[in-house]
Amino acid sequence: MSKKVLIIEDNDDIRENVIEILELAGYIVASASNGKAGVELALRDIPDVILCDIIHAIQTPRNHSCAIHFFNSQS
Amino acid sequence: MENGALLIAIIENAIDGIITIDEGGRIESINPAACKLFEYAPAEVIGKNVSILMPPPDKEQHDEYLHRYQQTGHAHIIGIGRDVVGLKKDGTQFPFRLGISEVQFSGRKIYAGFIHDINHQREAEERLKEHAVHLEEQVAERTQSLNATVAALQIAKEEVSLSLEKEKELGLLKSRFVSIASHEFRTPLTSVQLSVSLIEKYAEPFSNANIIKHVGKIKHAVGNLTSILNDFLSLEKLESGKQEPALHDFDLVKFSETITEEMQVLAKQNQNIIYHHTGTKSTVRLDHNLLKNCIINLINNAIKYSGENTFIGFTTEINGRECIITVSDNGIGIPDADQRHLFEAFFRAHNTGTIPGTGLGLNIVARYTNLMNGKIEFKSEVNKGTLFTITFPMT
Repeated sequence: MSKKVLIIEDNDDIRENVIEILELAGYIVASASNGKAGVELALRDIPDVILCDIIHAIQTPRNHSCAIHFFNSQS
Repeated sequence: MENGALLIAIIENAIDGIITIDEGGRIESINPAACKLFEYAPAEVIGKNVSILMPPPDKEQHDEYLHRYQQTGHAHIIGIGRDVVGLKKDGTQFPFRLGISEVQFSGRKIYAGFIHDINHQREAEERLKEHAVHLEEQVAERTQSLNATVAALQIAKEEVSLSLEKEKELGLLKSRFVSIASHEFRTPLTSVQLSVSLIEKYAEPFSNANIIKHVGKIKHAVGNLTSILNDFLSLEKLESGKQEPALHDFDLVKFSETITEEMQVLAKQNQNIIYHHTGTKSTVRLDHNLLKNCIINLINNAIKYSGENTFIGFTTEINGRECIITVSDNGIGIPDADQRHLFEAFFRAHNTGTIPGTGLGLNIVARYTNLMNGKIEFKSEVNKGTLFTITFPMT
C-alpha cells in the first residue's frame, strides 16, 4: 500500500514540484500552503510523513492541541 | 675740626644727592651727586628756591607745603619720605625717592633732603612688568593654541565616532542584505533544482544526449550557487556572533566514513579519497555540523585543486591528549607569499586561475575550528601538494 505524505510549503513552485516528484515516486501526497491548514489536514487524515517548511512550523498557532512534534532539521 | 672734614667728605662722596634748604626754602648747599642728578652746577642753584628743581604742580606749591608744615607741624614728607618727580636743568623729569629731615643747626632750622635716584630701579621694575605682561601674553597665546588643539581633537574624535557609527550601520545593513538575499535566492534555486530533477525524470529514456548534458549543467550550476549562498550565510552567522557550537558525543570514524563516501561521488576521474583512522578510541565531543562543514570544505578544496588520477588523503587520530584530522592532496599547492593570507575572508591564492571559488571556505573552516577550541595549520609546496591539519584537545 502506498505511503501517505503531507507537504506544508508556502512557495507554490516548490510545493508543486515536490508533489510531482513524490507522486512520480508512487506516494499519495496531500499538501497545504500554510501551517494552520497543514495541521488540519494532518489531523483529518494522518500521514506517514510530513514534510514541512520549518518557518511555518514556528508560525503554527500554539493553541492547536495536536500530537504533531516538529523536529528542527539541525537536531 | 677733623669730624667736620669727615662729614664734608662723606657728603661730597655720597651716592645719593643731598640738598639743604633754609626755612624759606632757599638752597644752602648741594652735593656733587645731586648736581649730577639735576645737571646743575652748585653756583646755579645755591641761594635759589628749591622749587626750581620741581616740575608743576609741586613747583608752585612748595612754598605753601613748607609754610603749612611750619604752621601745623603736620608732616607729609619730612621724616617719612616718598617718591617724587624732579626737574632737571634741561627740563626733563625723573623719579626719585626723597627723604627729608629737619635739622636744628646753630640755633636755626634747616631741612636736609636726601635724593635717591630710583630711575634704574623703576626701569628694572618696568622691565619686570613688561616681562610679566609678555609672559602672560605668551601664556595666553599658548593656552589659546592649546585650546584650539583640544577643540580640533574633540572634533576629530566626534568625526571618528560618527564614522564608526556609520561603519556599524553599514555592517548591519550588509549583514542584513546578505542574509535576506541569500534566503531569497535559495527559494528559486530550490525550485530550479526540483524542476530539473523532474525534467530528467520525464525525459527518460534519453532520446537526445543533449538533454542529459544540459540537465547536468543546470544541476552543477545550481549546486555551485547553493554552496556559495551557504558560505555567505555561514559567514553572516559567524560575523553576527549567532554561530554557537553545539557539542555532542559522536563516532568520528563512522562520521568520517560517511563523508568519504559522499565526497568520493564528487571527485574527479580516478581521484581516490583514502580514509584512515589511528587509535583505539573513536568517540569525540565536538559540533557534528561544524566539523562536517570543515572536512567537506577541505576535501572539496583537495578535489578542486588537484588533478585526475590522484589520491586524496583523509586521516583521523585520537590519542590521550588530542584529536587530529588531516586532509592532504598532490595538487597545485599554495605559493609562499599567499600562505599568511590564506585564512582571510575572500582571499584566494594567485595560482587558482580559473578554478571557481569565493575565498570564503577556509575562512569559515578556521572560524568553525576556533569555535570548537581547535587549531588549524597547513604545509604546502607549489605543484607538490598541501596538507591541512586540524587539532582539537581531548578533554
